[in-house]
Amino acid sequence: MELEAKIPPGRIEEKWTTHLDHIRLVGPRNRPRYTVIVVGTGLAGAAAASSLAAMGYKVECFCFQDSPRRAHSIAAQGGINAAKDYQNDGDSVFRLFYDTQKGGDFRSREANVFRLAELSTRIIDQATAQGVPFAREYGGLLANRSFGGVLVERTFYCRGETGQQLLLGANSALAQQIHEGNVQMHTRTELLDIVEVDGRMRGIVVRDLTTGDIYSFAGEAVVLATGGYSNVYYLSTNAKGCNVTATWRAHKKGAGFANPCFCQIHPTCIPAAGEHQSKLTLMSESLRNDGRIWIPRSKGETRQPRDIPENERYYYLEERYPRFGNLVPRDVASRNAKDVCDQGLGIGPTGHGVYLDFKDAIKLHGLDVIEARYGNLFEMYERITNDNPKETPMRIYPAPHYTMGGLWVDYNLMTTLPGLFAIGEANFSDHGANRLGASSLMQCLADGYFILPVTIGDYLSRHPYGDVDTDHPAFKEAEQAIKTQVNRLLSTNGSRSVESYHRELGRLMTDHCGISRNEAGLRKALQTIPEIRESFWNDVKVMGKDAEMNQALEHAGRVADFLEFAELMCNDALTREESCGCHFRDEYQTTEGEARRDDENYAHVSVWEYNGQDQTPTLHKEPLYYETLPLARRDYKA
Amino acid sequence: MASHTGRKGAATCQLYMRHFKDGSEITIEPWRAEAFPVIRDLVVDRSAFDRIMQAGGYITTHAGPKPDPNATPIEPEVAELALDAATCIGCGACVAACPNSAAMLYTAAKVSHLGLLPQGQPERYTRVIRMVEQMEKEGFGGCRNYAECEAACPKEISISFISQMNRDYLRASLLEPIDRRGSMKSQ
Ligand SMILES: Cc1cc2nc3c(=O)[nH]c(=O)nc-3n(C[C@H](O)[C@H](O)[C@H](O)COP(=O)(O)OP(=O)(O)OC[C@H]3O[C@@H](n4cnc5c(N)ncnc54)[C@H](O)[C@@H]3O)c2cc1C
Ligand code: SF4
Repeated sequence: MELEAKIPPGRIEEKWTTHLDHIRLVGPRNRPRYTVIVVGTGLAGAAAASSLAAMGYKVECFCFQDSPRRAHSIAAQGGINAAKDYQNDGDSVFRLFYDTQKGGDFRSREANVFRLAELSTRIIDQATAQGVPFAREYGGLLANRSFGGVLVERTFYCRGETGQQLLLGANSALAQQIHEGNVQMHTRTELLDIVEVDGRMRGIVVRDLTTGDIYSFAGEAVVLATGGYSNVYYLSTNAKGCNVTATWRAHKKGAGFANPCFCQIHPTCIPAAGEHQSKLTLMSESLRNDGRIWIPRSKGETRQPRDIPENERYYYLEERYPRFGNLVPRDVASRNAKDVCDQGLGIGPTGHGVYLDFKDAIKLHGLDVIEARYGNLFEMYERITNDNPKETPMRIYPAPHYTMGGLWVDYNLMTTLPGLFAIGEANFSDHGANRLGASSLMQCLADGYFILPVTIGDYLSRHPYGDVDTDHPAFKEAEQAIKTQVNRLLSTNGSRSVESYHRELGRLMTDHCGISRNEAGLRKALQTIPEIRESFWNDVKVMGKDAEMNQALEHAGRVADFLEFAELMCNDALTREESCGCHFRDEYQTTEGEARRDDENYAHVSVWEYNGQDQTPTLHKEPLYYETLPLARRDYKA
Repeated sequence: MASHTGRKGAATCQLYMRHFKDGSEITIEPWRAEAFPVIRDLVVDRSAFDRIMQAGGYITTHAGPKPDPNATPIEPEVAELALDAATCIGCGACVAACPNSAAMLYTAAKVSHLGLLPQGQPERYTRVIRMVEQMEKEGFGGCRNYAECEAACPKEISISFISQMNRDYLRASLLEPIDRRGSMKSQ
């Protein structure tokens, strides 16, 4: 497997513009001759599909939901970063680059991160032009809030529904292109395989989720914008439908999978209430701007939080990290929450919870101000828990939320497979070992609006068009393989539900490949996963038929992929013998319990090559270079 | 329990069992409206909503360089009002609740979101005509001011947006804006 990152030469500030100056393009007359398949209609996919279509390419676009605008990006609450420096607090492209690289614990490619910071400002311009109603100040100018891990206010937002509004923006552009006939939109259609012809990725096999039909689409390139895989943990903040199928099946076709073990566990989620819960709810990180996190100082505390006096409360983040306080990056906040709960100080019925308290903020700013900032988040919390956060502190606990790992891509966002591109959360991204808040929406839109539509031309212009269609035997073979798999799932007719396998896998991964990991646990997981997988294929019960809408069957296919993918995650976590960002190995910590990074041996991207079912995958390394920012210890204490 | 959750500002999927009295009977049914054909069980086809958006629910723009957003200040009340409209999640409860299966609240929310913002002005009147015409083509019923939609809406979208849309539509019909799309490449 070749890992040629194709980073352009020159100073970091010049790389992207130099690249644009020299990249090969497809001329406007030729663009309609190329068909680009875009899978996914979240921020990354909708932005890419609409931009490609507006440039003149023919686009076939897919999502598994009933409408493109229901992609999971809709759930993003808090905001989107951009280095506009509207607040005059010293922000700059360089600072955003620096924060992202430091936040990611120096495990991403400098050139990509800088490009992201550079493009961030254009995203706000673009979204505003599309009619995204960002919050405004009294004078009519754009407002900002701050997010964890940074010392400036650069986050743009629409109340607590920034993702929905940005997605409506991107989707309105997509809607226009659908109306004009430049995008063929296929909703309720799931990608199940990617098809290679003569060394290039030329199409996909899909299942129509309403009729069960399995058929193919051919084109000149395939773009995966299929989101992240946090649902490998079963309980996560992702929508129930989110899955790893598209990227995993691409991996099985030969695409390198990068840093699969880098998964972010978000500190502020509503704790699980009981055994049968199937989904966790995120409370936006923006709450940490005003809320104070604490737990009782003594174990076995039974008093109501309001009755616990100040001196018996342990504001552990403020005490441990005086400079950043409650606004430390997510991984640090999550690890500390787990740490205090492991010490037996956790609150709530399960002991897995800490308080997030607005009492002081309300006293300082008044209830009106706090309501205006977080009113809809408070309502959401109250609706779910029946507690009013204006009167009693919220209870929160970390939950899997975002995956930094994903398909390896070069500077042009192409995977190791020619003609297969990955954008948004689906690629291994610019967030290294930990993503800062409000940076995913930024990356999805930078990829979709500004990077991919141009860089894909460099690939397309080197290749002919229209020379392959779905009559090619490669498509028929792939369709047949999918039909066989569907039949196998339906005919196993065992005794256990798909859900029960998913839950079992999730618990195992949460315990051994979650907020912290260690060798013994990972080895145990690696031993157990194949056992669960074997049981699944022998004893799963999938009701219904294939030629109909069958959600159990959809879920079964996704869980089957998680059962394979989980093993790769654990292998990755096991071989990375250091702690960095969200990847915290118990064996590698400082005496103060902070992550101990090993730059000598692990300053690389781990890229995995698939070698076949039950074969050990091969690890390849893309070395990371630190030419602009010298490696620094990620210290939020100083 | 189709659309009347009995709780203000809540979608059916946001209800908890504690919201019901012990022993009470719960009736579940799919959205009922001609324009939303049932696919299976509770699953309906809401693509009519998407086609209303496709007909005109956008501001024509491309991904090239744009003016700085602060070059066009927007009063916060206007931005907030646009967001009040834009907060519609396109669930369809308004249609299901309406005795006439009208989609006025949804369409009005979408029209008003863009029509309130300065960026949405150039296409304001062609937009309202195209979206309302598509809405009618999809077979939604007419509005008789029952206001059941507003009561059922989980995002508390106000029916005042319907009056706003009606005003824009009337104005647009009088103005008869020439829609040159098709003869002029939109990009
Ligand atoms: C609760 C929550 C809150 C968040 N808040 C923020 C925030 O405030 N700021 C921030 O920057 N980030 C936030 N994030 C992260 C951010 O929302 C996501 O990382 C981002 O939206 C992912 O976008 P995407 O386009 O890559 O994928 P998605 O939006 O997940 O879209 C994936 C698309 O791929 C399609 N798809 C997937 N698999 C298949 C398949 N096999 N076949 C066909 N189609 C398929 C789906 O239908 C969908 O259209 C949040 C995430 C969560 C879960
Ligand atoms: S107006 Fe309200 S009820 Fe109607 S689709 Fe929008 S959110 Fe749903």
